[in-house]
Amino acid sequence: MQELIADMGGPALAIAGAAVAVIFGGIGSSIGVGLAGQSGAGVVTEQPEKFGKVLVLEALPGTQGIYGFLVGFLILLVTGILTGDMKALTLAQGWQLFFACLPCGFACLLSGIHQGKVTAAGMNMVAKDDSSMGKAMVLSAMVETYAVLGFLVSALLVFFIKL
Amino acid sequence: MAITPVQKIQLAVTKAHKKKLLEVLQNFGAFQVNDTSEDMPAQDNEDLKEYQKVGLNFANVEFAIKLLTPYAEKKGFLAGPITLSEEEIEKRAKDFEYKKVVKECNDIEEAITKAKNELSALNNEKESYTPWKKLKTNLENLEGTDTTGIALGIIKTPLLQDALKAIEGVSALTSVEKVAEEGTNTYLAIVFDKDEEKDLRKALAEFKFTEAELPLATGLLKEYLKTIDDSIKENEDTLKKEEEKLKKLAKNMDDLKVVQDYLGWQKEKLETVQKFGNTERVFIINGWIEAKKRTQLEEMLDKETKEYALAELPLEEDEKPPVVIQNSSFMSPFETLTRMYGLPKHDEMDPTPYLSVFFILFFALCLTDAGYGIVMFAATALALKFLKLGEGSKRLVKLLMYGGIVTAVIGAIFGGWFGFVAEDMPEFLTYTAESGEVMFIFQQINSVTNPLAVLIMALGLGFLQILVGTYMKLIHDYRTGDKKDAIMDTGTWAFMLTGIGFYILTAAGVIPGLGEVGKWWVILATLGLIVTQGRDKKNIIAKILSGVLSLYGLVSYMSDILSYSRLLALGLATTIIGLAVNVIVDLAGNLPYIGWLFAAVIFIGGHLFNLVINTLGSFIHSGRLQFVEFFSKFMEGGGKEFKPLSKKNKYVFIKNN
Repeated sequence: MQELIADMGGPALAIAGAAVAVIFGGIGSSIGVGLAGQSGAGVVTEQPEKFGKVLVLEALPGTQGIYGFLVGFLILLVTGILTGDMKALTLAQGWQLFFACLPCGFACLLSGIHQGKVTAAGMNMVAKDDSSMGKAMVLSAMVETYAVLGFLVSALLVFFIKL
Repeated sequence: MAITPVQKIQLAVTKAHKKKLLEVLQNFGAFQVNDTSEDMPAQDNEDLKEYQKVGLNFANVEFAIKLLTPYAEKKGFLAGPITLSEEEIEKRAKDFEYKKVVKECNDIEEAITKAKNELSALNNEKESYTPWKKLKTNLENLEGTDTTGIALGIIKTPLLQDALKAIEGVSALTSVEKVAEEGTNTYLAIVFDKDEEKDLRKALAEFKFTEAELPLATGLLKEYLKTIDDSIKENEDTLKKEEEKLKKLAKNMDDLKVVQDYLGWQKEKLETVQKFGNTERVFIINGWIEAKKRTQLEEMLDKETKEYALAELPLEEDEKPPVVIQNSSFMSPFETLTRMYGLPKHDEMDPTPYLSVFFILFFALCLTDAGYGIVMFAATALALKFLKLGEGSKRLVKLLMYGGIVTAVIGAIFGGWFGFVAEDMPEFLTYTAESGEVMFIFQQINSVTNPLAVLIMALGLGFLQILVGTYMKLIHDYRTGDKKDAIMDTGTWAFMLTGIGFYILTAAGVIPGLGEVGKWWVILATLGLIVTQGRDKKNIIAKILSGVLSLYGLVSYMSDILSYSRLLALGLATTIIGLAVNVIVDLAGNLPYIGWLFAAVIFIGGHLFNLVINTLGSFIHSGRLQFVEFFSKFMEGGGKEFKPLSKKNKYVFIKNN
């Protein structure tokens, strides 16, 4: 195992980090948007005129995927993969970048799923009364806070790790 | 700028003036009628009958509109809704014979439902009979004779051979005819000796023989199927004809909508009558009125009659008046946010003017791209100019327009221009800062290379907003409530927070040389909290204990302030997505021949996506900071909305003369 990791080297670990951020963020948002979308489709069958509102609500749990993507993108940027000449990262630097991606990945995974549930419940609020839209959005945004914090820490770490 | 005072009044008017009175009250539009009909019920139910009649008509027109909507011509996006003056609405509604249209709609709907039901029955029949169409005998012969019976049915094809053998085993006097084979089903007509019927059926049941029924008719099945086809065609023609009629009727859509709104007014008036208190000849009306508009109502009533009396009523204990908030037209877009949270209580402050500055600033900080700000400003300004928008959407669009302006300014300070990097830009757009960094003109700070400074600024702004909230509560409570409680409950915390702010400023060296003062300030405030917060407890130990425990409140203030770190995160998100879009644009641009086309599409699409998704995010998160972090410092909310009798329109916009 040790040898395997040593063979992989720093760059592979950095890429693994980017993968974790993007994959987990993506899963979180996929499940979240999926949950919200199912409820939303139910609302739209009964009240097609609420499609616009439902669409906005459905988009809310989608941000986790974007945060994950952003951290992944930052890794691509700081390691120089995008410009074509990747930096020769040491094993330690690789690990640092890998761990830096975890806060965003895990926070986005779980907050995406749960924000999806809250948003799905919010769809019912909108189904009953249009004017609850704002309240439903704020309730949903409460869950997103923790994805934002995870993203913030991951982004700061990736910025400040010395390469 | 604030909550408008509301007065509770009682109005007594002779019943002879009912019509005029309702007209006046509805046009006045600032009087909310309370229900007193239980104490003083109406002697007859004439009003109720009238109300039900209008309600029925209203529902009928609603039904017609719903039925006709799919057949109405689509209007262009820019056409906007119907716009009329109130007089025009009344005239058009009275001239239009909506009852005829509603009746036709009813008839058509009935015909359509009938045709559709028949169609589905016919189609079912057709489907189940079609496999038998090759049956060579007439349908009336299927009953059999005195000694023979006929069984028609379906068997699974793989079982056929075994089944045939079994049938032969039961009786040789059996004729089996294969009528058709479709998919895995084989359709059989079996003629058998009636004496053997029981055994035969038993044998067939083992092979899951499902019996089929054919129609009780005469002649060949083929001919019968033809009559079904004819009926189907007939019904389909009916459907088409009725739909044509609907299309023709749908041309009346605008008129129907005008009528619907007009009937809505009548309905609301008659609904209000149900709430009036009654004596034999007089209506007793209790309700709320905007205090400063009272004389206006009196003037309007004077014009119609002198037979009325108006008096102010005292508030009952614990009675909560409804809440009206009113702001200047410049501020009113921010009411969108206040209403989103729910109105303040009648004895609280209207938070609208206070949240406006913070909201728009935080919104801009979450976007931080001057390019996006300008695009948003242009789009919303155009929308305001060229689209006819409802009151609510107008406010929202105006709010976004303000957001666009502030974002452009803040974005320029942060150097956000469609995610471009200053170093790659032509020289005349940039300058080299003291730190040696290349920056855009106007740019003061780079949030990607210096996020810590932005984080500190975000938390600082958060601290400021929470301080403002605390002082607002202090001032409001001091003015309206118990002065001692105000100072001891809120004043101590305001003193503490100010002290902490001062201490941090001295420690950071912004205010040099006063570190000692700051330290003692905080210590004094801590003691103050310990002494005051437990003062309602009985014995001295409980007092001190709950005083010390109250210091735990600092944690909630701290978590509130940390919540403002989202300003940095969302700002970074916009910047980095913009950056990512530009990187992809570069890659696409390198493709041979048509690269520029891809690049252009990705540039526009990508940045539009970023703008939309982050505007949504900025709006929600900046709003959340107001609702959760700011409001909780000085208001509870949950005020009842003031709902005056007025002319409400669903479809028609009122043109002001």
